[in-house]
Amino acid sequence: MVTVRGEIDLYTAPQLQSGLLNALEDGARRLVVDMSGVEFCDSTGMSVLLSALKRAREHKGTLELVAPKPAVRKILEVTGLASVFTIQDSLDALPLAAGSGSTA
Amino acid sequence: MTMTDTELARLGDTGRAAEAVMERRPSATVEAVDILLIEDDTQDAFLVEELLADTALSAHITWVRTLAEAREHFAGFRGCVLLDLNLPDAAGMELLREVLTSAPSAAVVVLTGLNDEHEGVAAVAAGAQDYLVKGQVDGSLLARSLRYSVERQRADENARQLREAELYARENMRLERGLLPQVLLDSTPLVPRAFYRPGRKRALVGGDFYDAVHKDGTTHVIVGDVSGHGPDEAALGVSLRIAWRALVMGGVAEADLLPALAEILVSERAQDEMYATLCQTSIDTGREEARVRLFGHPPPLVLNGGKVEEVAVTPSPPLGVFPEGETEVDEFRLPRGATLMLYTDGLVDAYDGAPPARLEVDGLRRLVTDLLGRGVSVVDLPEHVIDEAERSNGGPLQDDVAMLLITHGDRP
Repeated sequence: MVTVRGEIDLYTAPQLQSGLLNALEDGARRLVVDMSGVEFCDSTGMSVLLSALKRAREHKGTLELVAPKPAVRKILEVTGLASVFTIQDSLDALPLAAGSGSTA
Repeated sequence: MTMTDTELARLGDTGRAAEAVMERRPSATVEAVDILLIEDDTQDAFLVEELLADTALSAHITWVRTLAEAREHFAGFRGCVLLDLNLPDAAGMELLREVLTSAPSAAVVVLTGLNDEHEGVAAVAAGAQDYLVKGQVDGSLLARSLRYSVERQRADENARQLREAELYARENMRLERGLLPQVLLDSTPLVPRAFYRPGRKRALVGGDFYDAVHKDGTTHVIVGDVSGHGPDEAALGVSLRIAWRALVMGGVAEADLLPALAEILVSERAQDEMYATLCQTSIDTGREEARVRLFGHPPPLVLNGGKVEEVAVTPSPPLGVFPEGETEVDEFRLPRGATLMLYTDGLVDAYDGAPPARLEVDGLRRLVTDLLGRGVSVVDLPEHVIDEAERSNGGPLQDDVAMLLITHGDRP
């Protein structure tokens, strides 16, 4: 489970990237990204999420985005990525397995 | 290496030349100097401290005995390294080269023995600011050498940064020429207006690009953006733009253009993580309908009279994310006299007043409507749009912005 807060842009995206890659390297196969604290995600942020999704799939894993705010959900829709990611409406719905915590 | 005398004399010529230079820059003074003394001999180190204590130079001395110890202090060090060239764990030019590389912002002054003066000369040739012969320097000469060395190092560094900035500027010009071409719309009734504004805090241009080419009765227009920033992204942007133009000019069928471009992207990208967002619009000459294909990119706007509308498009994911299958295509009306506005996401990512709200496509639509209402012409529109977006953002936009406006003219 990776919890992200604030704005994901050109300057903060590398942090998110290393958080996600570390989780994958630690053996996590089901990446759950808590987006509830994210106010904004630009194209750099989206490509970081996309890369993590691709890597997860290469290891037969998944990447789920949880509870994106309306602004972020809109960006996902505009960029055609809403159908690419698995998006959960809230954290409550998740049967969570133990995972590594990290913030970006 | 031990000292034979307590008095050291600096070697004349380099010192005097330096003084002459320094006197022409009276404002360049150094108040306090950070000194990293790398010296394994306790007596010599003590002597340096004693000599400096007697001078007016305010020095903060860190003393280490080995290169290994010194390495911990190199990162970001901007003072003066006073370096004995005979250390237990390293010596000579190899030692000097490591210090110069590891502490690029430091001024390096080398200490040599009476019989190793040639080493001092070689050290200065290799990049040291000065050398001092142990046993021949007194306090004031030592202090002056240190002060001047730091000053010269700063001047050298300024010159280097200036050179770098010039190189970047030239590289940017080259890339911009590749990303932002003269569009090919002669003999069509379409009038283009292109615009580009680089984002802030960036040495290199991003990968925003646009182009427009008329071929066999149809005009194809494209705006795109390679995700991420840096020379690789900009270079990929140039490749994609030129590849797209070549595909269009080569007569590739409209529906096959973007799948082919996706293949080119996958084969040309430096890393698997590079994607491109883009919007391609195709307009048949003499018709008032256009076709649009959107890949992870914000939708274009149509400006007609005073009205501004977002083109309704079904977006596909960015190019390069998945092996391309069928691409979605949507139609929209582009009446004569109307203007199609294509842009990159740097524009809609601007803050809408206070953070975290962003302009988004709807905010841009409002902004353009407002400008048209104030009588701004299409020709002047891009500059005004950027100005307003910057005002809304509270300063220059973070990302590059490319805009391409195509007005559907009346002439045949």
